[in-house]
Amino acid sequence: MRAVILAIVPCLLSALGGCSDPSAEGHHHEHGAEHAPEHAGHDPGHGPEHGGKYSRMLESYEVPDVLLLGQDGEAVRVAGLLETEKPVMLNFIFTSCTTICPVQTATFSSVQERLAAEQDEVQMVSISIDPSYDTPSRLADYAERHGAAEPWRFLTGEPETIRRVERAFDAYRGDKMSHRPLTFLRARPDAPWLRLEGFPTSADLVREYRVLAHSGPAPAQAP
Amino acid sequence: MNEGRLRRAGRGCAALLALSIVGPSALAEGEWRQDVASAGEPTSEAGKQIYRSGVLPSGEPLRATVEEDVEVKGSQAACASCHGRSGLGFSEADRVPLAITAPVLFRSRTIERPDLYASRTEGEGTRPAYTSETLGRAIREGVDSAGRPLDPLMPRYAVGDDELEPLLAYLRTLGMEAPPGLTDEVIHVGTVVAGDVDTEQRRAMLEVLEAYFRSKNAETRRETIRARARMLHKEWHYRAYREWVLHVWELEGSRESWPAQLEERYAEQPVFALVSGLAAGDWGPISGFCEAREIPCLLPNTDLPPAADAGFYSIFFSEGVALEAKVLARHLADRPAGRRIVQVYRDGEAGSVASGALKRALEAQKATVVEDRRAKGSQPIDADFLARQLEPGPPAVLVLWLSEGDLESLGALEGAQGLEEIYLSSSLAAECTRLVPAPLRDRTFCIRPFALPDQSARQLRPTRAWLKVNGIEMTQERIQVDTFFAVRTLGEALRHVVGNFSREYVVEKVEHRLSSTVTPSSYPEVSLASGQRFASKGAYIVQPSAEAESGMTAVTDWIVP
Repeated sequence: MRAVILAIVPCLLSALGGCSDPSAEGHHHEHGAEHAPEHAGHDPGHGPEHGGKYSRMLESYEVPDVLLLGQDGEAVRVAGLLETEKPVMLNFIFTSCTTICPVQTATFSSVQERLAAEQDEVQMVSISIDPSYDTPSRLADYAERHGAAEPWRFLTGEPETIRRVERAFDAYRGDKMSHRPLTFLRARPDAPWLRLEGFPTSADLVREYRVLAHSGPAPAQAP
Repeated sequence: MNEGRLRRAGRGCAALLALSIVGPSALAEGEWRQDVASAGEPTSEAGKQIYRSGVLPSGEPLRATVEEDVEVKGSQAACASCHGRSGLGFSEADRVPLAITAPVLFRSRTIERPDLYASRTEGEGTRPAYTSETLGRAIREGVDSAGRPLDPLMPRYAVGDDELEPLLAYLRTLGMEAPPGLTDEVIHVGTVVAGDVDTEQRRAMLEVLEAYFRSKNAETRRETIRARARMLHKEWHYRAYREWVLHVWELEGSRESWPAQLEERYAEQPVFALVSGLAAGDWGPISGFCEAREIPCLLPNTDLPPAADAGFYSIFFSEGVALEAKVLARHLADRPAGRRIVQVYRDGEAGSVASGALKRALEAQKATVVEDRRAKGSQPIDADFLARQLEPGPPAVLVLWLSEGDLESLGALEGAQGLEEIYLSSSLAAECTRLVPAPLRDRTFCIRPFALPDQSARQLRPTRAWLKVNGIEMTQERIQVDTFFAVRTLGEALRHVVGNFSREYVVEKVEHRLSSTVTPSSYPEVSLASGQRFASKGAYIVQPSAEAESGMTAVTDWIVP
């Protein structure tokens, strides 16, 4: 209870004169951010003892049958892209994001390196949540800058369509600056989605993928 | 205690939570400064380059590891990419990169209200002042000055001593000096009126600015009195208030002489920021000055901003006529291919920017080459001139990058057989749709990078109310609305930096907060993020309509090229 009260006090103060001053050091080390259960089906397990911790939960999402644009400007049916027999690894990013997405993207790119020859076996997808800035050509530059290789796809589209897809994954948090570090994995179209919230290391992601690809969703408690 | 929930609930307020309980130790002001600055150290340019761009003195990219096993390099790894140029950091989602300015790093942190925050009197938030040694360790190993590990999102940098040294030197100067244009009592803010601008537009802009400054200062007066009364911890907030002083910099003569005139004005009285503004011609000379002097230049009324990669300090509503050209090219790509396209423009910046941008965009789409027809100097654009542009035969598509005054003879095109579509610019001809004679309405279109009139009628109610309260009549809607938006944006940014008067921090606040602003502008939606310089990114194609009350109907959705 105390935590909640502590959080409210500064918000009241904010009415007096703005509340986003960072000159004081607040969140000194935020590693190990384990989040409170938000959803039914939340799995309290988390990643390994060492490294970036993250929460895991199994969810079922209904992906809307909509068209987005790939980084080459081609129309992409999202549901079709995700209904592959390959395992899917998906995140939401935007190219001018500074704190979270560069790490998420670098992690995906590191996962590709770790998978090496196996990288063709997993369909990676990054969807921009800033579609009015992230044109296909900006996404293509971004993909190149991060050494993203096929079959990793970057998608943009109409803002309203993007929001629908975000909502479908319960990833919509209003303004793009409020977005959360989320990664979604699925073994097959008929399997549930594994929702990872936080910052898994690339080794974590590869391990999650392997467990998922070879034996369905990972066990509730991480090894 | 569930810290995850605390963080979520705190969000933007998280930093203030820290602020209200954690403060620098009671070291005398001069004492820590002496320790840090080793007597007026000059800015390390090599360190600045590492900090801002992630480029090492050798030219190699800076390299680091985040989250244990993820490699990042170059601009991804640059300190500024999370902590900002300001070094004051900003939050994204629940992540709050810490402030790393010299006054923060080189002072110790203690809990000021242990009675309220007993659980936090140790650990998170408290630490001794950094030394060069502990700061080097933080950068390389991710361990803070108290020996605790930093967030795994803080990169662990692979830097040698020769690379660490300039970076530390730069960090010792970051945020040490108060920016020019600021005293304990006053913040100087400028606006530029450059060249032979429309006198009505000039008056409309200045009226809004003056009224805003008046009301801002009326509200602030008591805050400065309260600051002197030093009420507990609120003192710090009250200390952040300043009286706003407006400086109108009128520039004369040729645009080549503007930079020197700006320097002259700046030498007379430095300003903390420039806001709004109006220029006859392109904004390049002014934004060049802003970059060179590192002055925020927020949201001028211009259709001719410099190119997107022109720098950090200037922020624009939109890319103006260049955006219109790109939107038109995108629109034409969806129309029948292989048609002949002719564009007509006047000598001068607007014409050359618009026609150049359309040519490049069409070429990139491998569409039909556009033919250029240029009116020289004071050559009148009358019925004869327009008729000559139809030689040897009318093109299928005619694009007129012309202002209202040059469109009076538009009716001369009525009889042109085979002329399928005429496009006009709303930036250059504000009353675009009203200029079109009835017989041409079915084939004439305006590119409109602004909200549609029925959208804006609703959207603009708060601004109308504010103008009315301040005794201002709405006569120059776009200028008045956008000037109010610009100055209000500066006001909000300054409110949110509280006492951290850093010019870079103000720009970062605008980048991060613009999309959540409630003040309306002429644009349907504005949004920025780090490095984005144009807040609105698309346009409609509209057609004149006798039936619609606003005189126009949109024939396309919002097109983002």
